[in-house]
Amino acid sequence: MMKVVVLGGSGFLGANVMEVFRRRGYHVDACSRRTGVDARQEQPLLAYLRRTNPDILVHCAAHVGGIAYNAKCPVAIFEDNLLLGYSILRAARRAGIKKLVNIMPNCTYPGEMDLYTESGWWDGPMHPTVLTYGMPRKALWVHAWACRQESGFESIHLVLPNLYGPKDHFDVVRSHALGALIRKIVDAKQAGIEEVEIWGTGRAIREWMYVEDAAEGIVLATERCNDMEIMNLGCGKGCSIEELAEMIRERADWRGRFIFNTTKPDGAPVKILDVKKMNAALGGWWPQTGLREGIAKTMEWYLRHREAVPSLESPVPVGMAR
Amino acid sequence: MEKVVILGGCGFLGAHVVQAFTRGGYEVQSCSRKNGVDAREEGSLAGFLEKARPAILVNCAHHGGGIAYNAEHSLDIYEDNLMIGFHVVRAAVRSGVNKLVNIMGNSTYPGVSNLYEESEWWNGSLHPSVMASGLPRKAQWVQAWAYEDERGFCSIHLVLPNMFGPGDHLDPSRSHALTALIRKIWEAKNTGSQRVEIWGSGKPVREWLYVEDAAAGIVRAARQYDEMEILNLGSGQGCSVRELAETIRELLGWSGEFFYDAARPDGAPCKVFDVSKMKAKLGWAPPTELRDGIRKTIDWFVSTQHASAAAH
Repeated sequence: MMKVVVLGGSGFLGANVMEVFRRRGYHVDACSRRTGVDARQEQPLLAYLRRTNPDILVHCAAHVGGIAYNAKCPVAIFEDNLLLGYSILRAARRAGIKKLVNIMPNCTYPGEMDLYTESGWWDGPMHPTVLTYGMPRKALWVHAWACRQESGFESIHLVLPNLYGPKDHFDVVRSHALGALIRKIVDAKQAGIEEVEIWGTGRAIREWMYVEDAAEGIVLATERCNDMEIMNLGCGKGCSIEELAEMIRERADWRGRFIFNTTKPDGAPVKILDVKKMNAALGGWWPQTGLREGIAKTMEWYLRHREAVPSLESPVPVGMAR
Repeated sequence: MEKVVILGGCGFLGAHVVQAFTRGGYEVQSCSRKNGVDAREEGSLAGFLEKARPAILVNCAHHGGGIAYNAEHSLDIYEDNLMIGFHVVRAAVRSGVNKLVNIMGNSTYPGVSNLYEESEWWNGSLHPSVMASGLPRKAQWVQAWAYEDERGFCSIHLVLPNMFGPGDHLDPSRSHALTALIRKIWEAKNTGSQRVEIWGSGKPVREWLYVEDAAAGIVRAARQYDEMEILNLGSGQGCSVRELAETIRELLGWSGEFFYDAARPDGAPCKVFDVSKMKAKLGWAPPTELRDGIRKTIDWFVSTQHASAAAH
């Protein structure tokens, strides 16, 4: 039986990736800080990998948040993610991993691009709001490239859009826009509040992928792909923050109004992945869950787990920079 | 008197930078592996800086060599440079350095550019022959940017072309292309050989900056330039490997022929800097003519060979 270790396996995406690998008959272990391994340090990670001896290592670990969080802690985000990538590559090589699956966010693409095509990945600066998170992931790709030059080390690199779904971060500081919107609107409905503030103009267009679909695509790509050039994994469709807010309002049956706080940054204007390469490589596989359906499932989960979601206070970042 | 620490101060460029700052009236301390500091390790450099307490830290440290060396050691080059860059920024911030002066190679520019303009720095992938040494420097720039954003940390980032001049690596695998060429032609002349083989087509155009000019420019920039955005420091003039070989042949007085091994990789086809920003910001341009610089480098090279012959 093939063995897989998922780094960040306790996280939002990682937990779903674990589940899909398990369903397909792999032996799966999660490796994260919650399981006692700090992957920013090579030695504990290497010891862990030697003990579990996996064939495949999936890297879903990250220190990341939304625009506000990134703006607040750029140093910790840069340093944590850089060290993560560095020690993962070194430990994976030394532990004899057969394939590294590196999951990257779409913010690794140039900020000014509308349609993110793989061949344009290096062709422009990243958006400043995500630079400290995106750069370490690009560095990791170069590291994997150098490992391949040295010893034929095999790795694949998948670029994903924003993810959403049950168990997302619902606290307002670290959440991506969709989770934050659901929380604000559902809470407003419950509390009888008539106004919800939305950061930015509401016009920024983003692609939203349901997390279970993302996990399925990752497992499929792990089985079928072995080229180290990056590959997009997404739906290839975008939706503005305002449209998204309307969908959630409708579903929540809330009648209040949105206040767009235009003093807050929008981030890049448009982010949509070109998925032609994915269609060819994965034999026509397509993310199954429509946006309305995914939003409904996510809201349902949030309503059931509202009480357990942490309060609106800022969490203490877990950086190592102090 | 302002104190400056030169990281990599025993290296080719670093040694000249030490001299240039000393001449400029600074108190200068060199820091390198020869002083027992391994900048790749957390704590090693920080410990040194805590004691030295410089106002300015100049980072000339890097791991790299010629095209062949880089191709064979890409993984070590990547890992060493990534860790050097990472710890340099962290240690500079923690020890209260007022200004970090970060020196980068032209390998940080996209591989397909002909004219290296600062605004093009992010627009394209690095050439594979230098990706492992170039990318860590760009990562380091982002790290310094994060510290500026979060804590107001001041750093400047100077991009330099290929350098040449007295004090280059004598080990042929580590020396810059120009010194390597001088060696080959000098050896051919001494052994009476009529043939010198040159790797690649001889067509790649490179810019060559005389190392003493580079050091002088770095001191000027440390004084006058305060922006986080990169600044080119060069002559703005390119010269093909072929032209370079002809100049050296003439200056050494050798009469043989060059053979170009086109099966060997050329690297990027053309690398020349746009230096208009440098002229505007520093009011300065490198004073040494290429031919004069080559002559001085030949004199230096020949003297090292005579010295080593005398020692045997």
